Amino acid sequence: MASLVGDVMHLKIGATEKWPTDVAFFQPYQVEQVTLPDYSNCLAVRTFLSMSGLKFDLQLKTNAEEMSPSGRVPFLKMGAFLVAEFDPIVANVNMRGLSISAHLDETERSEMTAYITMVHTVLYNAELYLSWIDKDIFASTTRPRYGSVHPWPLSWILPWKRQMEVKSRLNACGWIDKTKENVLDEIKACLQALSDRLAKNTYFFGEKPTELDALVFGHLYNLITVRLPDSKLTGSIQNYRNLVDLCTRIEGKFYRDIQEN
Amino acid sequence: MTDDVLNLEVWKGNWDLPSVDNECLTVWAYCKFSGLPTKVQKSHQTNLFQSSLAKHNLPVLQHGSATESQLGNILSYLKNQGLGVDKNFSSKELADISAFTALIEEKLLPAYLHHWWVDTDTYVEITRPFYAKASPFPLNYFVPGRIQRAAKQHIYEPRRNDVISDEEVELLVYKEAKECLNHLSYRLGEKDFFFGDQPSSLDALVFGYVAPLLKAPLPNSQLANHVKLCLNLSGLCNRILNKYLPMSPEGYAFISGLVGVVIVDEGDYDGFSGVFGDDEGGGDDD
Repeated sequence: MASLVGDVMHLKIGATEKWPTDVAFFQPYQVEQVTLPDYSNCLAVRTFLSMSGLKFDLQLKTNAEEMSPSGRVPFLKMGAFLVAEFDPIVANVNMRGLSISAHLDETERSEMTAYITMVHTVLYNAELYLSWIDKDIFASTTRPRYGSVHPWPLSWILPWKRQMEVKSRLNACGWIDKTKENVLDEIKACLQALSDRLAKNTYFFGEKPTELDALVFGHLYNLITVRLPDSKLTGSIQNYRNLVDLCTRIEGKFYRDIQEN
Repeated sequence: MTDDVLNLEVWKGNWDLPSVDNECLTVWAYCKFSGLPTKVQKSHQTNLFQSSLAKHNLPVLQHGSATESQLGNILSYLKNQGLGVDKNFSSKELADISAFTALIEEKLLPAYLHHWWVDTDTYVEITRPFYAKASPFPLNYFVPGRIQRAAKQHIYEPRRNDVISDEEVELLVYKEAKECLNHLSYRLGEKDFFFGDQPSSLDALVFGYVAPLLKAPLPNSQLANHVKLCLNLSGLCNRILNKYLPMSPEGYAFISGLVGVVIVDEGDYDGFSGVFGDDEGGGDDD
């Protein structure tokens, strides 16, 4: 969706224009409002920009979701253009010749795309499932947070509306019939694959971080630190030592920038 | 030993392919790679009734007392039973298989479904007649529509929001599918199979998608044209067809019998493959 907007934009700016100085990064309020899947994506994009050494101005808006061109957070405002979500933002940065994965060959880049897609589908769908379909988490966390910025009865209606959207999305990709155990198994299988691929490397593709590292960090850091009614998930992530170490490494090196920003 | 035999039920074939359906081709090829004793039944009427009542879509795999349908379930069943060639690969290679499987399901499948089930020309001229003919009465009236509805839901639902029209979704899914085919082509490179000399479930999966696009008579398909440009992918597909899924023994008998009597030129061959395609109730194969 947003990538179509992105395509038009690529045609217009050409590849020569460097990073503008007035880039604004929009996301919902981090402490009170943002939901689990949205925050993973925000964190991934911020980590990616920080890895690329690109400056941006963080703007917290209660209605970031409504402001976004694709209806999803986070999104960037660069001059006259709006770019939303992880893939289009990465494509935009790459178009400007600021790519952090330029040292990869074609095969490695294909592998990276495959892993990025796997993380997007499995972890993002799992986060959607846990926060919107799982009754306990929805009632105790997601609904109050998502509705927190709206007065009653909107604080009930809007979360319900979003829940319907999430349900139809998960239904289309066959996740709605899964039980919570199935979902946790999917997460484990995905983490196992990531862990096997990472093995003993510093980052997924050698000594330099790539967008895949940023995306994995965004999801895992969020899943490790989030407070959910039961801690099974956090416990199972701790079993993948190399992934946890990767998160610690990225946190130490890049997250300070994120917090300062 | 009868317990060890896998009973696989698939949609029947056409255009020189053992089956026209990508999932059926994948499972079949994977069983062949693994050297598993497989008894294949091509959309047998009574079985199709039963699977339809149980809301199964083909392929359906029966093994001992277990019955599994859908590609993902069948592959994970085989994995849990310790069957299949995938167990010979290293954990890093298995991780690559999962990643590329996710890539194909997310990026290639929507365009593939759109191409066969939503694109009006292909659906009316090829897909609907074929699936209607392959299903017994009265299922022939329901099966194509049911699969089409599911396909539409799969394509449009996850991408639906207020600012994007269905036409834009179509542009997007075809663009992503072509990128996905390019990534697969880069990953395969000059190798025989994705992980060297031995085929894996990823090869079976790619074969399932590529073979029908290559073999079906599709005049104006951007997806098929793009596949034909990825030479190593079509090479992979032909390699698998020749080595693992040559025409069934009855097929050979039929051909050799015919060739003995008549000289088959190109025109005759088309008509002949049509006859051949219709005449396969319970072809088995092991």
